[in-house]
Amino acid sequence: MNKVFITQEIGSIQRPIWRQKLNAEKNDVWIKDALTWGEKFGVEERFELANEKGTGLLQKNGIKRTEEEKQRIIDISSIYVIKMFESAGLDRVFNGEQPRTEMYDMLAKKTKGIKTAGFVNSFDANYFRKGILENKISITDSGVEWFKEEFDFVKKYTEKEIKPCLTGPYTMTDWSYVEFYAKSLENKDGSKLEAVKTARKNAVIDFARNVLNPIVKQYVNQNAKVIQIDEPAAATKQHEAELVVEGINESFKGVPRNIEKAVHLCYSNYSSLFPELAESAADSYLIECTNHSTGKEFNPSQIHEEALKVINLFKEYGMNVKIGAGLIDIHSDLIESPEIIKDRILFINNLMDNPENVQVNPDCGLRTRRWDVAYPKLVNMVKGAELARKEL
Amino acid sequence: MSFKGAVLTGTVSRSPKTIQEHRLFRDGHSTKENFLELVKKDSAEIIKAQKNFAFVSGGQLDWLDLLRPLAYSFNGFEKRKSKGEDSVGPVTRWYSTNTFFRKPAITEKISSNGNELAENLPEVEKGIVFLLGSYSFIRLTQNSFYTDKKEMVLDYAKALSDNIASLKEKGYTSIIFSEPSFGFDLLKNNFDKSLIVKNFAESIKEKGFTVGVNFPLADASKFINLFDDSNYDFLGIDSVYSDFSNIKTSKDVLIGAVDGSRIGIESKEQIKNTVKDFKSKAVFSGNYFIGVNDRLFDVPFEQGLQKIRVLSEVSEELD
Repeated sequence: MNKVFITQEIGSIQRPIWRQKLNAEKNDVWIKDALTWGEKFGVEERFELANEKGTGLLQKNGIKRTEEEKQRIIDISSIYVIKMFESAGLDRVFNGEQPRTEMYDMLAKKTKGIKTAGFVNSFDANYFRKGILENKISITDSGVEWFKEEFDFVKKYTEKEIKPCLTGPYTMTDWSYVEFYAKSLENKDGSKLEAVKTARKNAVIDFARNVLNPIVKQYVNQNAKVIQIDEPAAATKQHEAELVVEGINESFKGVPRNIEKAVHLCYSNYSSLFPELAESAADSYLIECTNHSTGKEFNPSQIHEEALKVINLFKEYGMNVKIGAGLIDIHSDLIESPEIIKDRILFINNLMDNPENVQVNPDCGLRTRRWDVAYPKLVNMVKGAELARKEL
Repeated sequence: MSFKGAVLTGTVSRSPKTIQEHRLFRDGHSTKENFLELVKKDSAEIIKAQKNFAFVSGGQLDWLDLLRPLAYSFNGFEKRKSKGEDSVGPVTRWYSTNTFFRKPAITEKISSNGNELAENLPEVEKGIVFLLGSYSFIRLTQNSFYTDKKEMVLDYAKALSDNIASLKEKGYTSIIFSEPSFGFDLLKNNFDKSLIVKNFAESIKEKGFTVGVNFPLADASKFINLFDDSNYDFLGIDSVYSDFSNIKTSKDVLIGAVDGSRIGIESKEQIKNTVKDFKSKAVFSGNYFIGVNDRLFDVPFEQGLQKIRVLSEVSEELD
């Protein structure tokens, strides 16, 4: 039997302030913070950030740093997160998206045909730099290379299984202004509204075929065992469920069967994606299950009703897929206990029938939480999975 | 028959500087005061851009969603004893968008001490407040207290009307209610007209406020007749989604001629053409406002300002 209840993060981890503010003046609090976490995670590169000689990268005024030095800080930030995940005991790791500006923006920057419009809000202090599709879109050559190097970098620092993530074609489209695709249709017969609908379809397919798929194929060449596509927007427009699935399938086209094709969904009515989702090529779905479930003891009501529905729908449509159950709340500083996580895992396991089909992760990326909250949450998640394995 | 001015219909985006500060505050590297100071500056710019507007808003930039300030401060909403922002309900997607709100739980009778709204809004001359309409309020809250939903929204209205005196002191004269659930429910064949409470605005109007209601992303021709005998002073029509030829109302209207979801800035000519098209096809009182079809939250701050400015400029040329 393979290891059950494998643990993983979704993608993002908060970028430390010293990584965010590369041009800032020397700050002793940030240096202390970097050294403390570096020691905790066993990151030797912490001494490149600060050392007794005073020659560390963070000991220099940011304005005087060279581009190479700034890049090294970004790299070290990735190492911190890889080691944070290892230290927490996760089975699958990545870099917490440290080199990426943000889940939409990074891919947009590597895509031809997108111009940045500016920042818009998604939730509370979370924003993204929304893009305008000004021309037909495709990934740049250097874009594929960038994701290749990012993967190779992680590989260099861990023996664990690497789970790279990419923002999916439907979400990339939904979060863009589809100006080029719409304008080319607006002069034809039909309303502006119809033009936008067709434009969205064309943009999703172009994102899938010309942007996502080349990167996915690159990951296959790099021997990735699992590739995750993030589609947080997937269930927002019920009438476009077929398009969501088409986008997923086109993105994963050509991926061999032995590579796990994972899709992350969150904060939506997942059941609205059915019956179309039954045609998806994905092998696993990482889904938010415990949004806002406070309480010291487990209660089945802590599991999001939509997550329960989707598990039933997997069965109803005969989908032999894995669920990556989101069992910690990423919008709360509450540190869930290992026991409550164990109970949540066992509850989901009872619904799924096969423990090999149950994976464990947070609801979504933990970039919303400070490291002093995110890390103990992950530690307890791993402990919860260990306790659950013992009770099988 | 006359043009009554321009009006914003919902919250506006924050500037890049404010966004940066907001993120720093979230990550524990700045303070709420610093963030609010920049919000104040953004609001001032938004207000300045609303020359020729019938009513003026600071953009409600510090409202994290349309329900949270009420859920925090009004009586009747559950407040969990947890740290931070998560005390008033789960993170929930705002309709078909990439934005989210916290879905509050109503566990007791809704009431107010009369000052909560004013405490959450800046001083603005001819001010307008953006609030959630009664139908959407029913759809977006979890209610375990009221057996009668009409009673619930009338208590909501009463709590709001108890705030009118303090709002007036801060310069406010109007409220516009947003009803995004209409468009969403129509799309999902889930529209329930029994949830419309026609006298919802009565207690607010009695206190001398102008009250409007806006229906973003909805074809208003499908339900506008239901509001003829309502208490609203004007009804907001989304020009992208609505079939003007089938609009028949005796009420004043707000023509949502600027698209809050598209990045392109409408020209004055485009706006005038939309108004002309509406006037030639729709039946209405003849009195109209112009505005944005929805909140200005899906375009960045700078483009939002440009959209407001063009509304202001075209207002000088309409009659």
